[in-house]
Amino acid sequence: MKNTTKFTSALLCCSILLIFVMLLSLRFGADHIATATVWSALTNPHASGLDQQIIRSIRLPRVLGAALIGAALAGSGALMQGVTRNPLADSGLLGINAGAGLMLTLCLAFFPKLTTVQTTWWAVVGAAISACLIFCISTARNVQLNPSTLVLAGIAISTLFTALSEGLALVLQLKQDLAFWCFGGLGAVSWSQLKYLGPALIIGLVLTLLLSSQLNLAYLTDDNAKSLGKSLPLLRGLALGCVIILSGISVALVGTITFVGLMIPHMSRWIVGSDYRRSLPVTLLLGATLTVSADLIARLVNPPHETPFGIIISLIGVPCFIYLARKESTHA
Amino acid sequence: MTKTTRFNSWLLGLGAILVVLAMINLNTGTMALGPAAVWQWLTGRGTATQTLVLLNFRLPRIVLAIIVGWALALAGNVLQTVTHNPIADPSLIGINTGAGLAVMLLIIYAGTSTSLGLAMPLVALGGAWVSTGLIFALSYHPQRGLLTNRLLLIGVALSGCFSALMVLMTLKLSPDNYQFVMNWLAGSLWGTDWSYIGWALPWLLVGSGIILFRIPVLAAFTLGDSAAQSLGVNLKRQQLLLVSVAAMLAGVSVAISGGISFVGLITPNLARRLVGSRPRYQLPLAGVLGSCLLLAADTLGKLITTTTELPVGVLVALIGAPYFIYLLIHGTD
Amino acid sequence: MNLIETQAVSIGYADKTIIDNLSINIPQGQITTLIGPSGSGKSTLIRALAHLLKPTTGVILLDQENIQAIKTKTLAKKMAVLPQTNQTANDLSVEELVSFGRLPYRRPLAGLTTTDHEKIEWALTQASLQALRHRTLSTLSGGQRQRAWIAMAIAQDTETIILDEPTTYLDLTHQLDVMLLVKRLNEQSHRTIIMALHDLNHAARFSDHLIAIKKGQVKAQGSVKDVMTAENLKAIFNINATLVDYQGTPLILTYDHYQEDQQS
Repeated sequence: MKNTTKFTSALLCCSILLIFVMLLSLRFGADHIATATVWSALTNPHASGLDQQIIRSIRLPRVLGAALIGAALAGSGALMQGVTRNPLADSGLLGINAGAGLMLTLCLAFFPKLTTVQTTWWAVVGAAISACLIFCISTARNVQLNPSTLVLAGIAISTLFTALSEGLALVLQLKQDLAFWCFGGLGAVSWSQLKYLGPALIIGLVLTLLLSSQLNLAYLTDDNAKSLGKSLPLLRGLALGCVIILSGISVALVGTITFVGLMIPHMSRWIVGSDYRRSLPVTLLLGATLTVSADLIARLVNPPHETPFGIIISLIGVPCFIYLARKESTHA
Repeated sequence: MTKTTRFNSWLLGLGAILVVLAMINLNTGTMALGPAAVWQWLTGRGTATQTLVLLNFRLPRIVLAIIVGWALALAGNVLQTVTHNPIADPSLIGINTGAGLAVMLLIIYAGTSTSLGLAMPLVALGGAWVSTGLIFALSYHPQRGLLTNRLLLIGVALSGCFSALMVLMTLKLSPDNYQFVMNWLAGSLWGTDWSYIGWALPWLLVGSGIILFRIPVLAAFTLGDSAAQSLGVNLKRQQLLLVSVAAMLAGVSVAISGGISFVGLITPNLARRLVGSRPRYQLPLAGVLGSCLLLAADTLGKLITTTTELPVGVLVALIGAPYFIYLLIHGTD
Repeated sequence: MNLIETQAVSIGYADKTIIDNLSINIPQGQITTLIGPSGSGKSTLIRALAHLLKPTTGVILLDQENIQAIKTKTLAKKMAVLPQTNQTANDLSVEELVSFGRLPYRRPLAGLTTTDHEKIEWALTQASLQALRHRTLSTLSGGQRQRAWIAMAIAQDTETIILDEPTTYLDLTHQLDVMLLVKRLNEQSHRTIIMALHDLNHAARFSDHLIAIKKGQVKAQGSVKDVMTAENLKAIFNINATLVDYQGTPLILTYDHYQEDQQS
């Protein structure tokens, strides 16, 4: 009974917080826009002043993008931790970041004329390629997917690809161009990208929520799950598919943001407990909230320049994380 | 018996590889020193230039690679055993970023990166230890001692926080210093001077000694925490001691060589796949593998290009990762 | 004479108390078994007796000495503990695992002494593992593996051996092997045995002293005959048991739910 109350209130608080920071995000930015104007831009489709234009075509996609991406990164982190049974796992372990990064480096090095949207697609391809490679390695010997091999193979491929892109960037003098991508930023998110990638993210998020009750099985051993009529390797495959969609797209859009995927799932577990049916929805909401607020702060610290937003995420997130970690360690 | 034979032959083989790598390393660079020249020098008939190059440039770099590789591997292995997590690594518990942050502060407030002498490794070591201390304090539980899982998580979190601060600070750096710090972070084996090595060696020897001395304790840890305790291992104390020593080894290594992150992660896993998880075999083999890996990376870096400096950390990954993947597919488990 | 005494011991995790104000005595040279339903606090108590868990209040005395004040290494020479779950160190051989039992006696950097080898040999013989000594643990059956872990505890050469549900997950034959091994250690080598068991008939047949626990409280303690009564079983397990006397030991022939029985 107590847990359910806790869950409902956590869910409610997070939703309210998310809506609140999203509205704040629309209201504040480099340009000063009155609250009334924001309201008219959202409610009146015929209002077409410059400010309404800014709200609708720049801020709105950015805020929606931030929320979706935050939820996607946090959700894929939770899936990875469940599937690998390793508390340090995140989507980076599937080589998503490294694969996307390598592809981006190759694009910048050899096809500098590609548009941002095209580069994004290539980054998704890069993420998928490295994820497939990791799959192949970890299933090469055992027919079934073994979590510990997966983690190690993921580390190996990620490190290899990161080193390759770092080496290429150094030899070809690309460091400056890549720097922004490495620290992450939402400035480039536009309707033209969200049109295609937004629905994909939403599908991925819904799938993740559908998997949440199954994910509890990952606490069991393979044999226990089998005796319950469930196949853990199949579940792992499904979850990893979700992770590729969610974090592949996110990373391609906003760059490497490690904190959200690693920390948010732990924070929500500490708040509502380790049952995935409860912790996953909270994870998604918390991830979205953190990302939207970090993006807002990144725009406000030093306008009109944007502070790299990965930094803001760490600076807000880490103290919260450590506070919760300390609080939690007295239990258990 | 076969396990021992296997261990001995791997150790011998890697020792031979180390010698060969050192010879190749001597033979590359602007002034090549072939085996003949080395032999001449060894028998006391070398020219003054040869002596200078060998003693002051080549040899310190080789020695540095060997000791740093060894120390990082040992530190990684200890962390993995104590935390029961195969992807634990010294860089994970904030050692690299803590040292990096300290170095960056030093450069910002003391000016150039060239004339700092021993202040540099000392400050880096200080940074590494302050961050480790902070992580310890945050993951220490008065009743239950060091919570190892929490240690890893808080380490990762603080590490992220430090790197964020570092990125903020890069805005204050001149391009030259920026380049130096970036290379430092990627691991550049920069402390190639006997004074640095002389400074680091006692620490590393003491640290390695303590760890090798505790091999039976580490072995008990592989049976699980409860079993280790019922075998008379004082969990709280030994966890604290072992993790501190690992942090010390890694901190000193990072101080003289920059942030090399992959060695500590990969070598214990390689060693386990080669000789199994008995610390008696795994630890020394991981150490020697670490030396080999770092020396090989340095040699390869010199062979590829002599103009742009490729950070040795990048090359370590380029050599180590494919071999590790090969072992994942074909090795014993 | 009492080997271990607990005085007003409470044990818990943070805000949840599992054992509350518990005082028990464990006699020397006997087999004492803790029985009770799942979640009764058996395992928690065993872990506290074994110094794996620190009581929040109260003291545990071993030979009149506070167990918290004894150095871990010294304690490991007085009592050996087999925790319920052990990390599977699969690439170890049986002999290597057993030799871990000599860890409390090892001096730094020294190899195994003659005494160590003798004790390892003795432990292997006791657990009938001589023939399996070079096999790796991953190739053994569950029962053989459990015997290997017990042999490790035997090699510790302690007066007391604590076992937390040593027969769980084993088949009938292997359960019997383990219980007979425990009995032999007690009778021939005069070890004090403390264990937690699920199987009441095993508890009755192989123990000298029973302690029944429910919800962190002692419901009954004493000789098997005193504790294994229909009333006690009703109070502790909520069952209506039919007991028979087999060579002086009360055994459960069959049992039903207590409530259902009342309705019928």
